[in-house]
Amino acid sequence: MTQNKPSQADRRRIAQEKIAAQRAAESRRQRTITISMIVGGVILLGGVAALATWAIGDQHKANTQAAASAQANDPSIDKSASLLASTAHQADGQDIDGIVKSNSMEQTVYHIHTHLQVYVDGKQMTIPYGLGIVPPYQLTQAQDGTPFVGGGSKFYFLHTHDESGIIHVESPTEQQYNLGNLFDLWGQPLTSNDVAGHKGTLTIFVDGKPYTGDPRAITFKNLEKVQIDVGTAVPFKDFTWPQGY
Amino acid sequence: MTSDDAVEEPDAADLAALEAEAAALEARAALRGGLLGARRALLVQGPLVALLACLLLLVGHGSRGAASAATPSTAPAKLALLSPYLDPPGQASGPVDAYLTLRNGGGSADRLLDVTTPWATTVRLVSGSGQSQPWITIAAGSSLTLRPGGLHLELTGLRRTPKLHDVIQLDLTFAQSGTVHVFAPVGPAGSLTVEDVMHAMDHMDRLPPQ
Repeated sequence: MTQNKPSQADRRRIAQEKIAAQRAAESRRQRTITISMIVGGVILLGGVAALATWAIGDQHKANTQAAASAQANDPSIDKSASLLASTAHQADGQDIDGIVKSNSMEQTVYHIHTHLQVYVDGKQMTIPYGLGIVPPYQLTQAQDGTPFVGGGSKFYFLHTHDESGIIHVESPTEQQYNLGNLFDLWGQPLTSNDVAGHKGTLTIFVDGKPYTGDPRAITFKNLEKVQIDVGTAVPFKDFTWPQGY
Repeated sequence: MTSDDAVEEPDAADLAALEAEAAALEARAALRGGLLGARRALLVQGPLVALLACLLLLVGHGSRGAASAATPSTAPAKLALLSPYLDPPGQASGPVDAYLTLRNGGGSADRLLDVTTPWATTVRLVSGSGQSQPWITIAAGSSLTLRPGGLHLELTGLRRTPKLHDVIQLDLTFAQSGTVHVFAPVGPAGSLTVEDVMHAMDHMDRLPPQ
């Protein structure tokens, strides 16, 4: 029996088939690697995003708990139930908007007062005492039994001593300050539909007259009365200034 | 050499090169493990990497939780200074005694180190027996009341004699909490009003006009 030796043509065909097969396999391998890298990348990115969301959410939760804890432990800051917003996150001495600073007010030359009242869905909210005053506070009980801040470690040019809504403007220069400055110092939002986190349509009165401009732009003037209604509109309620203002 | 031989020789060389290339490709594929090898590597290494990532995450999260849990023991002092007031002086040259309550709601103690006022050259921390104290400690989660007959502040070297209803600025400096500016009435603590403080602040760090 004789075995036919493959001809050169057969050998060439076999070699070409092997080369084609290997190239096809290499091509499939490259495609698989590319797909794997894309799928792996997407999974990795998704994982990182999920992890970041979880970590941020967890950190936010931890921060909220820490702030709540700090607030609970702070014996001086206002914790009234109907506060428009707590002062737990207000500025602690750094300059605000480049113009609102804190100092010892040795040379107060500009001293005016504006009254602010805010209603959220018809309910009057309390403006906290100590807004713009950095703790620790000196707290004293007024003759009507309500507490007020008599002292603190730093005083901003804009601040409140009690829950009356009276904003004290005490500055070494006759500078114009506005409601936006106060809310920035407070660390609370103030937009056309958000007042310290309370969202809704705003109805604003300045000295009893409707105001339709930017709430942040309301400039503090002496003995001015500002009312902001969030949501349900409440007719302007007048405020009688105490003696001494 | 015939012309046929000349054609045959390049063909043979070409074929040999072709076969060598095929053999090299097969050898390289065998070394790589082929498609199955790549898949196997992905299948084995992927879960391992994911497992390692989960472990690192849990360890990191656990240690952060432990750090948070440890926070309360190192929480700072949180002071409130309540209802300060001064007794009217028995004689024009003084001394004048001042009282207040110090409340610490924080997680660590604080110490009152120094008190100054524009109204006097010296303010001392004095015990009930009249002895000067270098400082007063306000323990975490406690209150300390400076009261007549007990621990209190004593103003001497008066620059002006305070009279009833004057508002006196006292600057209390604490080890942790820094300096707190206090406005205290001469007379009952409850006699102080926001308006009194407001006017006193216009003359911060100096004697008000008479």
